[in-house]
Amino acid sequence: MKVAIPVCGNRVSTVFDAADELLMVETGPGVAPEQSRARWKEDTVIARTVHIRESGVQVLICGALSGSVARMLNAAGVRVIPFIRGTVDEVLEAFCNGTLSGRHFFLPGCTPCEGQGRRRRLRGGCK
Amino acid sequence: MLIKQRDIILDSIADGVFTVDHQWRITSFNRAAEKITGVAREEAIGQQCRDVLKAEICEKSCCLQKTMTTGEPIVNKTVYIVNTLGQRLPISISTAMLRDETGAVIGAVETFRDMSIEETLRKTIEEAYSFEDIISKNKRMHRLFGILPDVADSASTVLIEGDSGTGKELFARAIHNLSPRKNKPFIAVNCGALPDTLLESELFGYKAGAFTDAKKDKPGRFKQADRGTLFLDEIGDVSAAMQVRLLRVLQEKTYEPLGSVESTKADVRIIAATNRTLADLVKEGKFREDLYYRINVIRLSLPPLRERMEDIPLLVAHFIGRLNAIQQKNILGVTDEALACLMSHDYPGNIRELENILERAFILCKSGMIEPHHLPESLYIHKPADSKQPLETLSIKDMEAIFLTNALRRNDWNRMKTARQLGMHKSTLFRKIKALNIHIPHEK
Repeated sequence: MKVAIPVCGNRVSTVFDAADELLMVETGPGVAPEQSRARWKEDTVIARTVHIRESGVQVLICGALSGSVARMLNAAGVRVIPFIRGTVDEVLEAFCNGTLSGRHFFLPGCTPCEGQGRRRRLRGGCK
Repeated sequence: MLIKQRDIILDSIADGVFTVDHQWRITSFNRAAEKITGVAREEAIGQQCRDVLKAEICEKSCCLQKTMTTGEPIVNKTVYIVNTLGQRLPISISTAMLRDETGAVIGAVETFRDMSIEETLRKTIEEAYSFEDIISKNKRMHRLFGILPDVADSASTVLIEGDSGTGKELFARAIHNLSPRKNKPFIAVNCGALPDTLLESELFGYKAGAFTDAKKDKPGRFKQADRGTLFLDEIGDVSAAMQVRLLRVLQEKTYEPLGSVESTKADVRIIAATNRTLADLVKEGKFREDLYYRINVIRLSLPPLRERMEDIPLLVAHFIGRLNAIQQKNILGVTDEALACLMSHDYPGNIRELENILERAFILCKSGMIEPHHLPESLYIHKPADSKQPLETLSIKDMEAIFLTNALRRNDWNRMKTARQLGMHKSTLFRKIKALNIHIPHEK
């Protein structure tokens, strides 16, 4: 499974549009996550959306993201987990353990049941 | 000043206000800030301001940080935030240093104003619509959203088919505003509205002396749309002669203005639209096959509103917000009964018809909620299936039964088709049919 996280330094970028880099993580059951990090050249949201889809990303974990972009990614078959905060390591670990629905991983005011982040979308992980 | 008094004053301000300490942690957060960001005060206090405001500038060019570094205030800088509902809002922010009574810096203060109304008005005037203005949760529409980035990114000709009022021009503008040509003009021409001779000079322009009264050169729409996008609406209505000229432009990428002996290069992306099915017109011999294949590189087919009824509540909320901004009213929404009336209609005029119905309701409804009697009589006095009861006395359950019955009738009592159209699972529909005791004729 290919997971993408727009990042600023070592944490999830607060806003999808403002991320400097895109972290790609190849992970799966019993497989050690393999990470690659690339500067995000695309500056428009739409170009970034195309890049994510063309990179074969299945899951996007990101900070604040507008509903229209989330709809577009969903329509392209990308599972979007928005409004997430935290360091890359703790977020990835929580995703793989299926514990990313913890309230502290969400930006203030954004719980898994509110906005776009529905609880059912947060189940799963790498196992 | 007492903290309680300070909070009362801050809460009475219409602009969002928050203060931060030296570690960028929020120390106060007023009511307007709660409303704009969607974050409750108790959740915001103590959090990093970037996590609460969620503005694009927070990561790289934080205004508060600049003010704290330089000591200079920032006034009315427009930025975008994403609120907790996933809405992208324009806000105007101002920042200043915060000092205690001894003059020591204890943090900074940021005030921000929601500019959504101004943005709505600007979009209405400039018609600068983006894909974010296309509102839908319909699966067919979502499939279109999925390919929109690729469509926008390519330079190919696009054909948009859809009934009148389905939003073909909105889609065309969204494609243009997403494309690399977005900073160049978007020019729309309704080909069906002009006679052939006028359309020719309108599209290609003319040279001085080309005909009587042509005293000076006039650039055509192709010239005006140079390096931008030309939207040819009602392309199915152009004459055979004009089809030949259009074919030449599409093939050769050049055209000649009327009266000119030289060809002009056309660097224009064409988006054509029609409310007819071009393939059928080709079969009938009314549209050139070669032009059809030139235009039909990417074809987007927009569903009529009756096939995306699940979008009506979203569209109603969108139009009410827009009309409130334009007419400076404060209509809160529509009542369940009025929504049931709106959902029972077939909308031959599609979204444009829904918009007009709401515009009419805004004239009759002075404040509060839009009620059934604010809607056109044809919707209001429309007797729901198998019901002799006046609309005002119906319960929500009755309304649901009426709505589902009408939807089933529209789909010739086909339950699978109805479930698909309403965006619900077939078993949910079956359960509702049973629970609401809806009679299916002849068990179709």
